[in-house]
Amino acid sequence: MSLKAYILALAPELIVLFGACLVLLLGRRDLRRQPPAAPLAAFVTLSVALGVAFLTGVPEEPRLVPGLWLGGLTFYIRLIGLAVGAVLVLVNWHQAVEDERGEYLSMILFSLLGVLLTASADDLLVLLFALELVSVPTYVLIALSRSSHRAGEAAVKYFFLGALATALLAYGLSFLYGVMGTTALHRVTDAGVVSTLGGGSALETYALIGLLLVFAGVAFKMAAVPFHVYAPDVYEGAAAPVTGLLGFAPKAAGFVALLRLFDACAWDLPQHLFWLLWIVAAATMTVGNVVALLQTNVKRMLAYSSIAHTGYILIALLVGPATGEGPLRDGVAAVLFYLPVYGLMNLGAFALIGAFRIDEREPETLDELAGLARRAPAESLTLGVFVFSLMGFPPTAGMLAKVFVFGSAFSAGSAHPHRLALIVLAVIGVANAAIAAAYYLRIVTAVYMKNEGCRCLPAQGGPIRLGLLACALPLLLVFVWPGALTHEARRASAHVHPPTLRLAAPALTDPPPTPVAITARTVATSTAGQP
Amino acid sequence: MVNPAVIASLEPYTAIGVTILLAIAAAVGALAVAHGLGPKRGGPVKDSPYESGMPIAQDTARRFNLRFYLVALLFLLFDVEVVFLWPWAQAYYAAATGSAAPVVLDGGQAAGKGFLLIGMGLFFGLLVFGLAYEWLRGAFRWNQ
Repeated sequence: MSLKAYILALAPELIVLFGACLVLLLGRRDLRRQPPAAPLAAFVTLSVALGVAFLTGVPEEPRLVPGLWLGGLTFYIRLIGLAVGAVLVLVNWHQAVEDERGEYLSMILFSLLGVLLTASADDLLVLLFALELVSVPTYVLIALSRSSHRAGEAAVKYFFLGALATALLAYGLSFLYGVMGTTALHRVTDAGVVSTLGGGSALETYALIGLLLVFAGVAFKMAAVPFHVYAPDVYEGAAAPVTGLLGFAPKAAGFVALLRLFDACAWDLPQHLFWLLWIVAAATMTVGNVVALLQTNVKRMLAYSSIAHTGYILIALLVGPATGEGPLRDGVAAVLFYLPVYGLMNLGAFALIGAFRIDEREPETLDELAGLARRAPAESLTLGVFVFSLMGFPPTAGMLAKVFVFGSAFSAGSAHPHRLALIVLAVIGVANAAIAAAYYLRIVTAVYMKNEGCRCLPAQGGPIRLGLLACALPLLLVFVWPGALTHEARRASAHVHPPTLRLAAPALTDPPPTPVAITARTVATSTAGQP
Repeated sequence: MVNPAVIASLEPYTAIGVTILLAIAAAVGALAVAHGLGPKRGGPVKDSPYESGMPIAQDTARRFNLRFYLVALLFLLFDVEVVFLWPWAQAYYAAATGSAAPVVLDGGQAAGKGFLLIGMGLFFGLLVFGLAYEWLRGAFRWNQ
């Protein structure tokens, strides 16, 4: 338990933290000798952190740092978060006014740090603060992203609604603390918060209220119906490269937080909550896809598509860890596989919009993108990859992601209490994927089939083109060679359930345990090897 | 509809509920009595916010310089920091002298001096960094 062990265990997070501070300072005019110092420092920070995370591997001692659980999920989210983050920096290389670029890029790093910490949070308070660390920088990012009053409006809207969502989240977590009698997630019983205390006791009701409020708060970050209303306005108002981040960081953090919490319930969700989530998933897919059909603004269309994808991921979340037979049975692995794939294809689509200019602004409508293929064939080809991936067509990773999600629902075992409901949900999902093809194809049609001359001019800089390539290539490579990513996702999924060191949550009638009492019991059980 | 066990579990909060009701009753009651019994004489002086205070210079709904908010934010930062430093100092003293009950970490062992020092050092370092950044960025230059 030396200092060195702490630093090694948290090395990627510490590198990102100090890198973000450095980038913040590099934004200063007289500290910035060369103009691209800040983006370069941000990119190097993320690359080094990714390398260190990869080399240190899955942490061996999960409970080394108090309040954190460093396991397979930590490792997986470190890899995908930092990799997508590095691409994000490439895409955002020339974004924001030059004088504010240091602040801008450091906010991206802080937001990514929040995603990493969410995956390791083992304490309700750490979870809350990690989720906030994801969200708060995004408010700043939206406002700084471009000097347009629409960006300011989007930032203020996102900020106030986000503050409300955080309030709901914190209130829900306080209920869960009341039920659990501790803020440490690993102390919750194997049978879970709800089911151990169930059977009509008062605590069951409180646990349900807590989980409902927490879900409401997290649903906002994931843009699930009915908390999706802000998404189109915010996505449209922010500059396209930031919108790419909004589709990854808050969504990934939200799903990871739900994974942690549902695991604390041993995936035995209360009936009401299961059916509520079922309805939310079905509504999110349907509303997202149907309303997207009506859009002519590509950014709004992709915003609704982002809502729909939240719905798809929710299916796999409801399936939970493997119960049935078959190679695709693991819902948690499907969620974990979907997150980086969606992050890249969504980021790529928005990055393409950010890579062009019409009258000094981004092209936004389908008409403005019409005929782009003649002017910029290479970029249009990457757009084809992103759109087909979003649609779920081969040869892209988006298809595999959808197969894993729907497959997990179809292969839910008879042990699963809601097997039929999950299959119905997956059928709704497949139908939605078909509807979605209609509007995704409109983008491809506009770019390739229209003969009008496109007025789009390429935006400044090579990094954004490199970013487009860095989004498109992995999508194709993962389709050809999915083994590495699925292996990591399955391993992380197996680690989501910390198997040992769990104690019965104290009932409310007991006197609140003093910290010393709890730790004494922990030590006793861990040494005696008794559950 | 409501689970009786839920109602039963709320029993410890009875005293708080009664206190809240009493507080509301006292406030509403005082206003109601003043409204019902007090003499009603109007006039510009009588209607001003501070009848026996300073004369009103202007409306409160006016624009303030944005810098005030910056100062308020910085003040809040260090205010909260001091609130956090105080219990930390207590815990550190306990760890250093072994006098009082130590801070117990999640794993079961008492937090050592080194852990407390590094933890606070990281927190304090980040705050100082924020201050240095604000300084470099010119947040303290009023006339910029």
